[in-house]
Amino acid sequence: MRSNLVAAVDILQWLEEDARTPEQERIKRDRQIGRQLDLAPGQPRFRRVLAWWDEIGTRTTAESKTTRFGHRLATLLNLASGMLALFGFFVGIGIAGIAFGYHGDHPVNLFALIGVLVGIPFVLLIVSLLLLRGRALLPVSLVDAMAVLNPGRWVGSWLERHVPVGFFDSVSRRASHRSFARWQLLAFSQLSAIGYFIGVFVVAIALVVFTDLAFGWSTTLLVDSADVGNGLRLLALPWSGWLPVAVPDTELVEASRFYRLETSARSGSQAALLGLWWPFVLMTILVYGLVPRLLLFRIANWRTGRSIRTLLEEGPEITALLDRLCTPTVDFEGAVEREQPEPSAETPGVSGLDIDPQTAVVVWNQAMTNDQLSAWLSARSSISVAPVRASEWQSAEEQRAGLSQIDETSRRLLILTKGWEPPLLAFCDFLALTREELGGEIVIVIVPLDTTTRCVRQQDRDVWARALARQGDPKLYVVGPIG
Amino acid sequence: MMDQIPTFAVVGRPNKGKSSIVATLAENDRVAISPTPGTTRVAQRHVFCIDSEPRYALVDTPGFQRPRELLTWLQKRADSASDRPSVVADFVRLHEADPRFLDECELLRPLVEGAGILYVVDGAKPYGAEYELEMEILQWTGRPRMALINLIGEGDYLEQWRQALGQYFSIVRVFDAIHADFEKRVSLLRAFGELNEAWRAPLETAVKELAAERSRRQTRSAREIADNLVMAMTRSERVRMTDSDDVSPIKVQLRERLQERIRQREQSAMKRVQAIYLHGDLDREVKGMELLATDLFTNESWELFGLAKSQLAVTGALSGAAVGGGIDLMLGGASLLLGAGIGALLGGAGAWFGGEELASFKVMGNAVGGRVLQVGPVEAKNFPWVLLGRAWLHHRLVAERNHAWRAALVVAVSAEQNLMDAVPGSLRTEIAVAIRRVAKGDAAGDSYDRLVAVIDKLLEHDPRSKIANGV
Repeated sequence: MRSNLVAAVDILQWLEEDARTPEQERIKRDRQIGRQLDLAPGQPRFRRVLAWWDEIGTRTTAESKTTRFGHRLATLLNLASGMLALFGFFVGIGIAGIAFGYHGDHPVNLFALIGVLVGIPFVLLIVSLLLLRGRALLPVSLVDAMAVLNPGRWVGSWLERHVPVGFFDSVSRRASHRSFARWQLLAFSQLSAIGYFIGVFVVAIALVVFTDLAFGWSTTLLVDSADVGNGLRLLALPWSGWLPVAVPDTELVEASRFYRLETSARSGSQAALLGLWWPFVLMTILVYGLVPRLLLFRIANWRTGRSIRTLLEEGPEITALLDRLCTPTVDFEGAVEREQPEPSAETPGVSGLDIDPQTAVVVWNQAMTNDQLSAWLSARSSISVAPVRASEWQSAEEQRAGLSQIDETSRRLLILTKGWEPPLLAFCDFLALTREELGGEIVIVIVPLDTTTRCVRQQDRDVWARALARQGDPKLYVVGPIG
Repeated sequence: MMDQIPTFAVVGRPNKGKSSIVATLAENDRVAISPTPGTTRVAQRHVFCIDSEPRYALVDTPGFQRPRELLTWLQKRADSASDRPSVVADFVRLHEADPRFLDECELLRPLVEGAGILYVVDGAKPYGAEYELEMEILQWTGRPRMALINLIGEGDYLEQWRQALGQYFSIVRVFDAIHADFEKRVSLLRAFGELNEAWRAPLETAVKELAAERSRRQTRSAREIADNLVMAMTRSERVRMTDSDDVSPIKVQLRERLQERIRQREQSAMKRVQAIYLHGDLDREVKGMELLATDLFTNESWELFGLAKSQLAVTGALSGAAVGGGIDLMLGGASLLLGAGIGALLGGAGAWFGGEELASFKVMGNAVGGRVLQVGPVEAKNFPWVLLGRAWLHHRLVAERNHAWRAALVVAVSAEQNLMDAVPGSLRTEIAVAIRRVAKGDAAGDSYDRLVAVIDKLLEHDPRSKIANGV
């Protein structure tokens, strides 16, 4: 059970941390494990989770395994169990030592002995069971008072301090966690009680073996010894069939009645007779003290184990994990090009588009129809300009022929382009050809027009300016936004 | 041929949205998209895999740079139409190391190796004769081809483009890469199958798996939302006190701590939902989702995302009746529907008269001495609805956002609009019943599964049927 607990705690803690891993990475990793281990959806959920965990374990370092909370929690639980059992044992020894106190003046009162050693713990057991199921029905003050009396609760509070911050954020709201906590606390209480009864039993055996004990019973009430005998035989019913020596007979019951006003002097044979109660006392401690606690401890352990298993089967993290293990991954795989840094350099801008007699105009890729071009030129100048048409579908010879029509005295060349079509290398080739034909002195101004052919949009202008900056031409400009 | 799987090379002039189409179809935020020409210099292969088994591939290519020179080279070497594909292959082989034709080689290589062509143009800008060069080159490759008219901006030149493209491509489709939702993406994928009979079956499988994955993502998101809801509803904060401590300031601190934890958890749940839809890089932009940036605990948030008082009472009554009705059923009707009646009365009255206070404080005895002050769990009836409403809107924005859309998301809403009005009444009751069960204690097992199921159902509805969406 401890190994499952370690796994459950570690898995939940690991999954909590794993939530920071990118989703796609987790999906790929877990699906790969799912396929590798052939974890079919038909297998029990907790088996699939444990198989997955084993595989994850092979991928992590031994150091990281031991530093996880599961190992520490298991150590803490073992420590707490040991301490509680020891605590109970010593309390049992102490109380039994007092309860069995016999100085020879009066026999040990059977009713007081059984009441203290077995009766009170039995009542506490009943209250514990009531608290387990009917907590809501009991007054809060009683529940709080019981918590103070319950050693399991002390350990629970102590353990809480060792839990990593935030660990129970995801698990504490689960019914299975609450169930685990409840049954684990009950197991702790029972462990303490088992230690107690072992302590009591050891003291009883030691006193029986090494001292002379005499037991008796006494009452103020007018009770017939036969009735008391019947009651005690009823108490001894569980073992009367196979251990008759531990069942008090009428003679023993009758002989054991004592009154404190009587003289305490009894003969040796009488004292020996009163000592015959010890098998009954031991069996009462065993059957009504130790055995129920052992049974309850077993049940609590079993329920704790079941809760741990449920922790490994339900909850959002586990459901998501099983989903990743058993459903096909659907994704795109491929190298992703690093985004290239935007060129910081820009071709310088010019403002205004004055057209003078020394200005030549090239229309690139039919950026304007003849009518649009006439309107555009006449809006900017009264002088007549003969534009040259060039395009990327022309051969270099055709482009050269077009450029040859430009007057050699031109000092500025406007190239009107479609602003929304970024420059291709074919355009850069044309610029190089222009320089070759017209020389390095002529200023070239690129005018990237929008679809109305009237404006230059800032966005288009920036794209052109960045792209043409690679040319490194000091007399190349891109016009600023116009409208 | 290199590929046994259908492969599609996305080709076209620079800045026509080739990378956007790839980013959208491959659901990849990291595909470089930039207005500067030449951002894609090397062909990028994106392989769609199911369990790492390749099913089809998209190749993002650089644009043509010197189409005239390329076409002239081809024309000089082909004597007949049958020679053309092999001449294109020769071009690639002979110019691998030629710096003048790096982009052309990158672009043509996948075509030579057997890829289909997805030729991308911008339908918002006019058609130009310069496109004919590259369309002719693509014709020379002899590969099956489809033209995609992308829409970047506000112009409308679709008819021009249809006329021109129809002469070179057997299939011409309009596809808005930026705004295409899942259905449109799937429809486009199906259309790829029309290019080649042999590609139809693997693409159909891919479409089915994509749809299944879409549904799984929604369910995974529902789980994240349910998880967050459960945590917020069950969380409490405690502090140890001594008898001499002044309780008032501790109460204020404790309430703030509870609210802060719930806020943090909500943020982390939203991030997880984004990660499920592969939108890992939305962090900065989420701030743009103005409504969701409103603090969870403000009146504004509660009024917009929560239920109105009357809705709360009706939903409370209906969910109470549903729970009580379950008891009637168990008794075989012997209770004469008393369970449903009492449940409705208690549920409705509880919601109507329920306190506005977020959570109450309790002072408890500590097992090891002293006292413990606890705030929570949250008791305000409207709180789960507020949380759910926010998660619902966030999910819708994230699920619909495609991977080419790199701008911020903003949802505009006017006052007096209530998000939960968009939820059908019957679903609202189902949600209320599921919330009530979880609030009562069992936050795992059947109750949790039931909550996930109803949230999953909620996510299928569009919260924006009640609000205007602006970008």
